Amino acid sequence: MKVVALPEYCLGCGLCEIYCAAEHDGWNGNVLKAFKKGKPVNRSKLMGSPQWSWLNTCMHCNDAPCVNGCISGAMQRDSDGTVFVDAERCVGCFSCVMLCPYGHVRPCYEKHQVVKCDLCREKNSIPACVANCPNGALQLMSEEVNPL
Amino acid sequence: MRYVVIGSCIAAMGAVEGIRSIAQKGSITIIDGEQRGPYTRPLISYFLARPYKFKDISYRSPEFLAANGVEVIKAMAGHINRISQQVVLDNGQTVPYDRLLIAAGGSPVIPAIEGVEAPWVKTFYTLADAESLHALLAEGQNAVIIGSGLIGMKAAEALWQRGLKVNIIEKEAHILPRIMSPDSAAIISTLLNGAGIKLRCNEELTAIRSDHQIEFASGLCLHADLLILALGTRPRTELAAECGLKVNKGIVVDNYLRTNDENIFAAGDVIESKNVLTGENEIMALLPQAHKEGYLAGCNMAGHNLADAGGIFQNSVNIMDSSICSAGSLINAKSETLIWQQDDKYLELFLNGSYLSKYIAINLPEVTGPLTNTIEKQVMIAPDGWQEFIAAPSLSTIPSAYWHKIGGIPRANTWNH
Repeated sequence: MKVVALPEYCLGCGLCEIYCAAEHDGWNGNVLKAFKKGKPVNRSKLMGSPQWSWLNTCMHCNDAPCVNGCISGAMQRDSDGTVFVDAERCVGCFSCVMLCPYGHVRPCYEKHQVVKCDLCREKNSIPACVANCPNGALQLMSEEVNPL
Repeated sequence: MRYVVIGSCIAAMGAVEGIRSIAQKGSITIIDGEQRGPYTRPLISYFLARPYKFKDISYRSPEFLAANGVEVIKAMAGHINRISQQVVLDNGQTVPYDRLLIAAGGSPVIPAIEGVEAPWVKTFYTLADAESLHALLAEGQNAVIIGSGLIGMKAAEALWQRGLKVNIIEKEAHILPRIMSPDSAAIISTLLNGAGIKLRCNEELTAIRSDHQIEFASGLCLHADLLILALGTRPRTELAAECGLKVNKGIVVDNYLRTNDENIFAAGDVIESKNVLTGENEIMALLPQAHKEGYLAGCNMAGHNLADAGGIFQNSVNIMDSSICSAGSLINAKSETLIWQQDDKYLELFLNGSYLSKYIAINLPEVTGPLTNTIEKQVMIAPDGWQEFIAAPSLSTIPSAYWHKIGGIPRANTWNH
């Protein structure tokens, strides 16, 4: 599964980033609490210019370069095929950042780690970005992706 | 089917994943010469810097091995008998195979000079090396590191973090000579100097004296409590050569990672890999490539025919909290270079007409994923696209030709026109 961005419907409002951030690091989707009390980190990142925008999210590639090139074994694929990073094991070498064709895996300098979309796998329902996109510009799809 | 793997590191784990992606049946036996289980070599510098935080640097867990039905034999492979299809271990035990993978890795280059056996002279390649350094070092000691490649730099950083006085000696004209350009190396040199790490380039080691004096060709003489030899690695091809497999600089394999024996495959730092930029076979010794080759070899051992397209040089490393990413090769001395620099960030692109052949990025990892793939997949991008990108490098300014190539995004939205 992966979240596919449909740029033709994207308003560039950035709610995807906000709900993404609030869904992770133990904030449990509580936007108010997350942004008042902490510095929540979004996984997927809104890209573009005033003319266009789209959410840069993970393709959960079949033959994922980030998993392949992870030096610590932190970058993994779960039994559902979701590629996620085990924060306990990530040492922040940024090999996965250097290898991701989509520029999706990003450094988080404060934590000396990387962050990426995990399809909100701990939430057990559709990803927060998809659930909260007001214009249907994000869709959860099951089509498989091979990089390039 | 009996799958046997000599070696227990990255390529070996890739092979386990490859074999099991196809065949649930069949035994997998790993011959672990280092006897430390599958650990990740790049993390030995993290262990040395912070041994209590990085006690466990395993690459795959015991649960992973158990779930994949992997038996690990902790012994050194001594000999391969291709006729009886057996690996003979140093302890005399024999391990029969139907398909064998040689993933024996590399070993550090040790110069042929006197004094290298002294107990205070070390290499920095295995977990055992890091542990012995940990046991030996004391704060305030003088450490001299010969070689400023990635191994030398990470050893230097770890020893500096442990409170030693660190000197890095490089034979070439600047540090990280295989990765960096003179300009980019100067940025890292300034950083190291600022931390009190002393660098000396154009110096070649000539003698290691028993009184802890280290001599160089220029006449320079340094005192070292600890000397680290970080002169690179070479493939451990002895086992393969001895049983008649084709060996050049590394073990020679075909596109399917097969040696000239149809039942024996090889992967990782022990083989020559194809550099897709030059078309040449080279010793590449890169972790992502080792894993990929191991995986493909595993698939092919289990009966598939997956070709390895080769790879490019690529490295990402953090030194003194600065990120250094680089990929590609200088394939043409007349490459056009584009440079962008702002505060502590630096990006250098090497262009061959419409193709990117190499980049060096300091503290700018976030743009490097698309750049690496532009090089590896040889995506054609007009030079003016690169001119626009280098004016303000970010993910959003990556030339749109690249995004089109990987999936057609971004397109203009409809509501804004």
